[in-house]
Amino acid sequence: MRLLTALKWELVKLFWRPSAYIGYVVILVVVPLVAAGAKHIERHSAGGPLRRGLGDDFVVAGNIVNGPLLAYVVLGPSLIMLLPVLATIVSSSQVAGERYTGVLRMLLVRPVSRTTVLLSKFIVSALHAATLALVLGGVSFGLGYVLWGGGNLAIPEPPFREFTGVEVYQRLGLAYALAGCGLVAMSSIALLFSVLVRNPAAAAGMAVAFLLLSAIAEGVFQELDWHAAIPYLINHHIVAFRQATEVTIPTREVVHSLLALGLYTVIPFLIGLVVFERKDVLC
Amino acid sequence: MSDEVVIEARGLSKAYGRRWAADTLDLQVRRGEIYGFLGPNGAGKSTTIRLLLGLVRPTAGECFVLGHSVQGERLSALQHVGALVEEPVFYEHLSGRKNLELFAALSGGADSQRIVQVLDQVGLLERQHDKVRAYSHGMKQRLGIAQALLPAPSLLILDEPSSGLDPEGMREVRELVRRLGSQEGMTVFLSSHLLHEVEQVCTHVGLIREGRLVANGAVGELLVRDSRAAMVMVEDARLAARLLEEEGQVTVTAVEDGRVRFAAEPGRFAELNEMLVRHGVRVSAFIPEQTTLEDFYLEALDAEGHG
Repeated sequence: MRLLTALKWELVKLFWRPSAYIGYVVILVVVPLVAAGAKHIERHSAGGPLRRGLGDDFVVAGNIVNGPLLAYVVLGPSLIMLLPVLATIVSSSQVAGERYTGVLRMLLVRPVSRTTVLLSKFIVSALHAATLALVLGGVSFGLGYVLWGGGNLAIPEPPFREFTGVEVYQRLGLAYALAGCGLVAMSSIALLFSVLVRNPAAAAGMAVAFLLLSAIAEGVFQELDWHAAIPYLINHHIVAFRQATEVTIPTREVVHSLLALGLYTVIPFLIGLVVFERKDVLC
Repeated sequence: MSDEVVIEARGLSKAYGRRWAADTLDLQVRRGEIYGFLGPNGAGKSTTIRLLLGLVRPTAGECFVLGHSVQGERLSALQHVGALVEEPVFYEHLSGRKNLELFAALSGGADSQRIVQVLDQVGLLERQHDKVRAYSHGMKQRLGIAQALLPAPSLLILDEPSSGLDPEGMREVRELVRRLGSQEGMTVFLSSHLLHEVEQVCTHVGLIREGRLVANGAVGELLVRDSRAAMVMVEDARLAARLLEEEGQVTVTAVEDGRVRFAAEPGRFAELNEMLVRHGVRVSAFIPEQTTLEDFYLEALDAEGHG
């Protein structure tokens, strides 16, 4: 019961704070910009890069730019850097922010376990991260639907594939679910740094740097043919959403990515918990 | 006051690198006491309080609160404890009332009536719905005391409770602490720099210097230096001093302009007054002298080699 109470108040604290809405506001700004850009290209450049991806093998009649495609297209660039950064803004301030202001000691003189405190913060941070993916999907699909309507999901990348009917929503649902798992993992990493350092900005920076280093390492490993090491990098799994729109969903790879993201979620939390339980509250 | 020990420290120590912020502290506070914890800046007062509340892990030793080990049974130890550690900090984007509801929930819950009661006790009832960022420093201090009172604690731990308050606010805090101790039977452990305030409010004091407890006990016992110490205010201090020693057979300890300090039983004042007047000395007053807490504090620190 104490966990539920702590969870309730963490939600109150979070969503009464204006900074919690930064991520959603950014999505509301970025998605229309992407949609406007896509609309412009579609109107004035005969589909532009979207149709160029199909090469000369196809003659396209009609409109491939629609709600489902916008929801798919916006996910890639957003997830490479934007959404992970937005996810870390909240998580990085959960412990470091309260330690920095001193309010953490006001909490910890009460008869509530440090495990309960950190677990409730972890759950709220994860929920916030997951809702970023949800809002991105909802806004992009909704706006695309309003602008261009629904229909099939045609992926304009080789190999060309098109999904119809309910499979459109299944594929997009899986893609966003994987995206959400990636953001939850980033949120957990940011929470760990939030436990380790006193400054919330430093914690956010360290989490983003961790992701950047992973991306750099992936490039280096590819150059060095160290392919066996790549699946251990978080960056490799942050973009696992792409597997949702393969011709045949690579179930094994999807499961591996889910497991990897699960480990990137659980292990940082457990490390953070051990540190948090033992850390002196001096501020 | 009962014999039940509500705070006990056994060899409690905390080191930060080579510096010992608390050094083998042995301390007992009994139920019903209002215990003043004194010491110069950096002596270890706040560290000791943080050790008692489990905010900080001891390097050695252990401490017990309300019969429970803070290290082993922290939740049980804090169940009936209200605390204010250093400057109170709140969620500025929430109202005073919302902050108290949040803290009450984490303490096991407090109903709306209790929240209103503590807000009224500290004089913040009319401002309860204002966001804390609009509060003055004094208002935040009072809200800090309110959150400590929320669980109706049997032990109240206050770190500099009058900090930032105006004189009226300080008086209100003194009265509140006194009332909590005497009428509600609460045990209070407070640290303060304000010696006169501690002297007025506390039944017991402990003096800490460089992490070590250098004095500890009931205020009345610690301040008894010489119950016979007295002072007479006269026009001719030298004549009065000579007469007191030769005729009065008392020990004169100091002769100052217009006053003579000496040691004599209070019951002899009338006799000594008559003797001085008979010899032509004009006497204004006979005053029994008491050691103040400030005198005791400074003497104790000097004895320990404090600069």
